[in-house]
Amino acid sequence: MIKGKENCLELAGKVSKEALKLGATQAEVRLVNSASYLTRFAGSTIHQNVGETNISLTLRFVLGKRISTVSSNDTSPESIKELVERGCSAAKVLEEDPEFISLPEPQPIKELRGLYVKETAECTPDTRAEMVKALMDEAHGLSPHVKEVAGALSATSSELAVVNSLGVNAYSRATLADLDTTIISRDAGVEGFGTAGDVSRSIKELDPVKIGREAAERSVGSLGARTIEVGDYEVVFEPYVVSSALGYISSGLSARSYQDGTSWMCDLIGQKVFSEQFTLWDDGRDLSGLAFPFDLEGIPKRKLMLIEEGVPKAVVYDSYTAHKDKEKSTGHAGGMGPSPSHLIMRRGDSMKEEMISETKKGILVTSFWYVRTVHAKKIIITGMTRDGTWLIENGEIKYPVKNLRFTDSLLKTFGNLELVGKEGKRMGGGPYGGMVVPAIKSKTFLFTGQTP
Amino acid sequence: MEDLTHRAIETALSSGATYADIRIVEINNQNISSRNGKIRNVSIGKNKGFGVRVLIDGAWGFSSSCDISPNTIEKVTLEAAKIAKASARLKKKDVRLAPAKPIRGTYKTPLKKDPFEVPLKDKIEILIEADKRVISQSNLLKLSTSSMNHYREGKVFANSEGAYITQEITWCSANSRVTAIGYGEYQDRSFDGRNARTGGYEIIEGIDLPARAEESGKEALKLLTAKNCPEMITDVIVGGSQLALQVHESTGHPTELDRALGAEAAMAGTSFLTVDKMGKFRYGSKEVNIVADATIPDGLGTFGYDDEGVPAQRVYLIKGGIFVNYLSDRTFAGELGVPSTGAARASGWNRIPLVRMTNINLEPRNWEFDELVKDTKKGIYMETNRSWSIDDKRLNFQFGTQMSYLIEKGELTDLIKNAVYTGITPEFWGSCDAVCNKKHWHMWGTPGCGKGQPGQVMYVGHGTAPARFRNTRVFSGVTR
Repeated sequence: MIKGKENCLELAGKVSKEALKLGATQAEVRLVNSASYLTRFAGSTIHQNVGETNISLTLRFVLGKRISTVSSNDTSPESIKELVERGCSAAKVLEEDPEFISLPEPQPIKELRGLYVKETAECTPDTRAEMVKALMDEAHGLSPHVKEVAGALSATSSELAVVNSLGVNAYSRATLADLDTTIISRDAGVEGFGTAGDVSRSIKELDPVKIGREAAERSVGSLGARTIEVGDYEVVFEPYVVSSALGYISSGLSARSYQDGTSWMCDLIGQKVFSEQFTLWDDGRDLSGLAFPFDLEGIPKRKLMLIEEGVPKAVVYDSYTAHKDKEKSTGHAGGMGPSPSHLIMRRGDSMKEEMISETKKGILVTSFWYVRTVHAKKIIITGMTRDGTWLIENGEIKYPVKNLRFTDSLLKTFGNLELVGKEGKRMGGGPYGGMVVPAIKSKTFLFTGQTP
Repeated sequence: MEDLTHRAIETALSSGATYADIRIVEINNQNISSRNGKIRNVSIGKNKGFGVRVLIDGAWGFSSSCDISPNTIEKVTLEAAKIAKASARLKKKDVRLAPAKPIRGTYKTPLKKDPFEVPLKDKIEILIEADKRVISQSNLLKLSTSSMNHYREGKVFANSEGAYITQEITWCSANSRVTAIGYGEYQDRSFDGRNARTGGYEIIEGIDLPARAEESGKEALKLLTAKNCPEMITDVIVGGSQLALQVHESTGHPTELDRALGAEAAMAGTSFLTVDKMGKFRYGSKEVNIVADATIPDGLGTFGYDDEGVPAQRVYLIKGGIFVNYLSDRTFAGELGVPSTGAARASGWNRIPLVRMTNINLEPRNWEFDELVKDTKKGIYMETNRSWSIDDKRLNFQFGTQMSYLIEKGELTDLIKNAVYTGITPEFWGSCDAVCNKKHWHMWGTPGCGKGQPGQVMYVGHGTAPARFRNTRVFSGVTR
């Protein structure tokens, strides 16, 4: 399935050249070649088991200041010709965009090793079934209350090539293995839920037994969940929650939302907004996360400090938004404008147990679910807790509670950050990005409702 | 094409399959978007391929490829067979498909004007005009984005039972979103994708996007200085487009049979509408009749056959307030021993069919909207979604809306902002005491419904009219 560096760059380069022949003043071609396999399980049985091989070409056809984007997954010569003609005819009818200056100039890209792991790329359906079985056996063996094991194990290999007519010629390949589970336990007519998961470039690094045990312990531990009075509580958030919350904070770190005036960061760069405990950067070259050497415009990744000791420092740029602010691209071109792609939150010195022992009256939350923005400028979000929520009183976990609805501002929650976990957890974001986040404790979070 | 489908089916059967199907799909789409009067993106995509699904030893396997050639079809079918055999290692029981009559048929979305034949220039003019009518009103209107989407899916379905079906589905939408920033406030107003419907460019021509955008701009400005929503338990009249999302989240998803049987537990969640409740659980008041209707003209979830070759159906999910049926496919209906309700849908050639919504419609009753407001002594009218969230069993929900008005002594009075309502699904629908009549009933679309692993995005429809819900908790999503 792998086409290899030379073939990918040659094919993308051919499309770029065809565009120039047809009158493009600049052209950019993105090629993604991938093979993805996913084994899905529920009710402690494999119920969906799928595979896919695909190749896609995306062309940005630039005609002066007119730009069209066309795509196809047919690489035959006739189809490539048709793709380029589509791009050309679309660009011709556009009005000029005065804010477009140029596609990016090439920059040297230092290769990253270890992104492509053969065992992940060549993982068979039988191997995936064996890993799923190991996870299920561990979960069911932990407690007779464990009744249903659900989740998914995926193994993906992909190649990304970005070529433009100014000389960008970027290529890398990567694999991704992802295992997550949700376990349902039952006892005397009540249900408990627990989750766990892990992600890695190497499928060999995923430990299904550990993941099964962790989720089963949460599930059984959440049996008999009770109703509590809603309101403000201290909170201890597991890394799954922190990852979800950072997703909402990071939408305001895009130069596009900053330039539009819709980002929470507008007028706040350089001011103290969050707790000093909160430091966040983006680093696509840090191999503790799902590193990748360049962005979707072929611009190299580097470390960029975004929030330092509670003070917002910078936004991320692609070439378009960078030109507008007379800045340089920070290497964060995404599919829908610039966005952080490899967030890393600075770790602290607390273990989760210490965070719990430091909590007088609070809630331990495993996961967020169905989170939506209520007010983007204030980063007010609403959503539900899921797969394990517990009441903490006087430094001890008292009992599980039914899923809670929250409606609160993350400016406030991360402004009241008290403790940050010692361990970082790698979270997935697709083949080309992800996060590394710790658990946290905040002094306040508002719960506004509860599931019956 | 039939020689290709035949090759897949024969290869699957000779590999030990007791059932096999193949879908060959080509999707064309065109998305044009503008920002403050300038075209920011013209994106034209073409995507094709095939997917083969096989049932071996009572377990499923699926594989797919973008290369539609005889050799690749054979290779991919053999891979699907290998995958199915691996699935069978962890099965508890055999998959038993609900029966379906093998059909040879065709379906094509009826349309008057092919959206892909309309010159790009004409579409661009509409979008730029829409933005200009917004940003020319005030400096406080910082952002106006407009967009148009055209989508066409051509597909061939064949299975080992003898079905052979070709379909072509076309849908269109036009959208506008306005952001006003001023007086320390930030407000959005949109005319969004809920206007998506199956059909041709006549849908766009019937919208008058510039006029809609202009109105949105005026409303966004008013919202900047509107009062915040007071916190109270009150009667709420939910407007049509917001109610469409309410139906989607609190009726459509919990009536998906795969969720109820635990198949989505790790991702989308399960459902409070468990199998033991079917036919007897009071889901809502007697005013509440909700039907899954894939046959209704123009609906975004309208088709001829689902992706298992089952003909489009009209099925009551909620009748007189009682939960009576599920959305289902052949796998899960077979598990329950009932017929499929024809709701198996795949987002493309590279995805398996899942149980999805079609058009989930709240049937109209007999209220005039003005009469309903007049009949409401104290309450709030809430329109157009701003935020939405619901728990993994589809019980606890919270929706924020863009525009809301207080109702005092039977009249709409003050405009209020940041309004949020929250509730528990059966309690909320149980409090519904009035639904407006057919004159106020409209087909809305939800073009971006997500589900499954790997993820799938599906286009579904919802017909609704405004309805009243007694004693609902409302508050401001911002001042708390």
